[in-house]
Amino acid sequence: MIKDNVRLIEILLVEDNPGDVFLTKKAFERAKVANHLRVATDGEMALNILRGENGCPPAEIVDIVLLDINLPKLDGKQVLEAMKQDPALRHIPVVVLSSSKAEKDVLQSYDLQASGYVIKPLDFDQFVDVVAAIEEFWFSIVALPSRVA
Amino acid sequence: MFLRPQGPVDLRGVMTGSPDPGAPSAGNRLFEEAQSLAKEHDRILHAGRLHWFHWSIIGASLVLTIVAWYLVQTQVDERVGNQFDQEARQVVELVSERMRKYEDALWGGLAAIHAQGDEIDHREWKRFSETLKIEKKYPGINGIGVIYHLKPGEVAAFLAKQRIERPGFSIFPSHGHNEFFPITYTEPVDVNEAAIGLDMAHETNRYTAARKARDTGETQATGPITLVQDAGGTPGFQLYVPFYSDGPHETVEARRRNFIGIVYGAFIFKNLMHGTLDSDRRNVGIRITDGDDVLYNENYAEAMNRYGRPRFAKTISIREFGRTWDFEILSKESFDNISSNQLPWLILIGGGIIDALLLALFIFLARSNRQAVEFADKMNEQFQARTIRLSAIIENARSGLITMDEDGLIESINPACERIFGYTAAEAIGRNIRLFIPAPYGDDPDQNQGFAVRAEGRTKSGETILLELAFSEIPVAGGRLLSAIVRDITEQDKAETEIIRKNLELERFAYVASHDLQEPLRMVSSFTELLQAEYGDSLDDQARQYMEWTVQSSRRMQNLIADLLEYSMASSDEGGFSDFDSGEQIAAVLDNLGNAMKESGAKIKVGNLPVIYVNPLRFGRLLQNLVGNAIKYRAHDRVPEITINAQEGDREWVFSVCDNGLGIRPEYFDQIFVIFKRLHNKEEYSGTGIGLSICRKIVENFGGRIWVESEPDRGSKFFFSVPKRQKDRDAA
Repeated sequence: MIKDNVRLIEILLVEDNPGDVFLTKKAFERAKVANHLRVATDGEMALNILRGENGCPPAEIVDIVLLDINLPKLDGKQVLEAMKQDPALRHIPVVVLSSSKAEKDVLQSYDLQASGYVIKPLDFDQFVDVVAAIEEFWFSIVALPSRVA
Repeated sequence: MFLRPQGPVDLRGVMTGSPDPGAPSAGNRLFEEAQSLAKEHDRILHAGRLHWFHWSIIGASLVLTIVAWYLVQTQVDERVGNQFDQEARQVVELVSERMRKYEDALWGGLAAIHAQGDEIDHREWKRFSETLKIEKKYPGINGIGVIYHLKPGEVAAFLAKQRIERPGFSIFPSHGHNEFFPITYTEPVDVNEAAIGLDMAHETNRYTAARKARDTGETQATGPITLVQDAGGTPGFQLYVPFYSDGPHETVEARRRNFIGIVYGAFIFKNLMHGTLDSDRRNVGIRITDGDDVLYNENYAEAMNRYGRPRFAKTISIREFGRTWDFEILSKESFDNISSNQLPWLILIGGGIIDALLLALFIFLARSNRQAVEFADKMNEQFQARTIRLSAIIENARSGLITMDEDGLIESINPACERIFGYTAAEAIGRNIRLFIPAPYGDDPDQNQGFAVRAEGRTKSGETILLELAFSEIPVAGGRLLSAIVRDITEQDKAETEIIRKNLELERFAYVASHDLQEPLRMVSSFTELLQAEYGDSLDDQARQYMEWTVQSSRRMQNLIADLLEYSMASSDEGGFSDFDSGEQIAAVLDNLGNAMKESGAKIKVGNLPVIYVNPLRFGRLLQNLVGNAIKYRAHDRVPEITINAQEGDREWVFSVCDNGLGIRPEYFDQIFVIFKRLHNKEEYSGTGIGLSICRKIVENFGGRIWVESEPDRGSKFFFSVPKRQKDRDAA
């Protein structure tokens, strides 16, 4: 376990619902590990940010992508697919954050090489707990490829 | 007695709709067979009557019998007749013979007189008669005696002579003739004493006979007379044998000149016949007449039978000694009885019996024949009724029924087929099944026997339709017959497809709705909670209360939506069906419920659970709900005990989840499976009431049923059935 506390964890949240964005941000504010949350409100924007295309300055580092499935324009699955097929991006862990419990969505996400699938709880407190857990696992325990290099 | 023939079954209408005589089809063959059957039927029926040859046989037999009877009867009659004849003749002969014997006796007397030199006295005559032993040797002769002829001038001297020995002698009675023929001697004298001296000339018959004897020189018999010796006055007669002195007596004059007297015998007919005939002649009646006078009459009246005529009668006339005696012999009934012979009647009766038997035999045979035909007809009727019924079923069936040979050549189609494919029976017969049902099924119906499959069909107008099709073999004698049962399921298929589509749509709708509903709801509840958390302090109690209710309601709504989502997905088959060990699945479920189990201290017992063929995820969900309920609705005063079992049936497995919890009142047994129906309010027990309706949906989806048995406060037993696969069913 290599703990590099110098740099903030760069999180890319792909979520179109501003309410959800707010909540997620709020949840991550309480995180133990320092992090910086960037938001893409649709799939296209997400890819633009990741690749530094279309006028978006490339994200220098994205440690982890939190991806919602239901997005306008390019939906979450397509983003996932695109990312995993892009040699420059495929190493980035993508955790699908979705309110959908449908097995179809879950299986398909893993099929498309998502690193994890988290079902957003309906209860906010629970949501906070979930975020804490994500943070615990992905930021503290796991060695992120972007931070090893 | 005679049967009206029913006629054979008309098979034409049964198999083929409208037979075409030209078509070389099974229909025509059947038709010809039916015709020949009809002919045979009539022939046998015809044989069931009695015909001319039967009657002629019987008639001939009868005739023979009658002829035989008649012949025998005639023979018998003849024989009897002959017998009678013989007897009659015998009677007459006997009498004649006797008469001759008596005549001989008289001639003996004559000889005796001549031996005495023509002079004989009564003593000598007595000696003669005793020597003769009349009573013994000549029974029937009443008396034998001598009559002397006297001219008037000789009378006095004669009298004097006679009175020497017999003082009482006199000639009587007086008469007007001038010659006298007195009985001079007669023996035996004791019975004939009254006759001594009786003058033959006094009575016509005697006188005539005496003179005749004298004139002819031959024995003469008198006509019927009554002897004076006969107290009864019964008919009698006398025999006169004339005797003469020496000298010629060839002529009448000579005879008259030399006539001396007569040796006579007196007879009473009664005695004569009695002596002559034995008692065994009592079988005939005899009447002897001389002219109009009845000389003798024995059993004559009795011989007349009830018809006034005797069976046999014979009249024999004999001429004896100048008299003609008519013997009328009649057979008495006793004669008939003796001489009657049973034989002709036996023959008649026997023959009649044989004839009757013969007739009976013919009738019996004819009747057997007829009965057989009647029976056949009755069977026929039954068969016909059944066939008509069967054909009605076939004709009226909604499913198409096609019969064909093993190469697929169509033999018949029923009206439903005509409707389905648009061909008439006449058009279809003889064509190959491929016409209706293209490859692959139509190509080889023999190989494709079995359960119904979905196959394409082709109508006359070229339209393709969807059929439910099943081929099978019909066992018939002589050849193989295949059948196809088809149902046009085009519409049904469309409808099914439509339904499936609609269902899918509905589910998709429910899914999407719930899914998309969740998001805003999440927002509502999250932000309200945040409000509570961050601004709660600066708000008053009322505001806090408002928020509390808001949060609760949105939570509740979230639960409802989540459950609805689950409900809508409960019949999806994602993951599909597979064979899996339900026991393992249950283990996984119990794992999921681990917390709840620990909390409640529930004891779970699991029996032997089979491998089943369903959607594993759904099955898991089902069990989770059931066991979860069992834990949730436990009784608080005891440790919850839950048992999970499975029972094997012929066609299905029946699982059971039994608990010792709160139990359910019987009136709610059905309602609990209704979506959102709860039996407790939400303060007591959490839950939206969707669990059991999800269970039901899942169970019904794999073709089973779910139900409950329960006793309030004792516990509940939930049962659900899982159908076996076909192969498992067959194996069982």
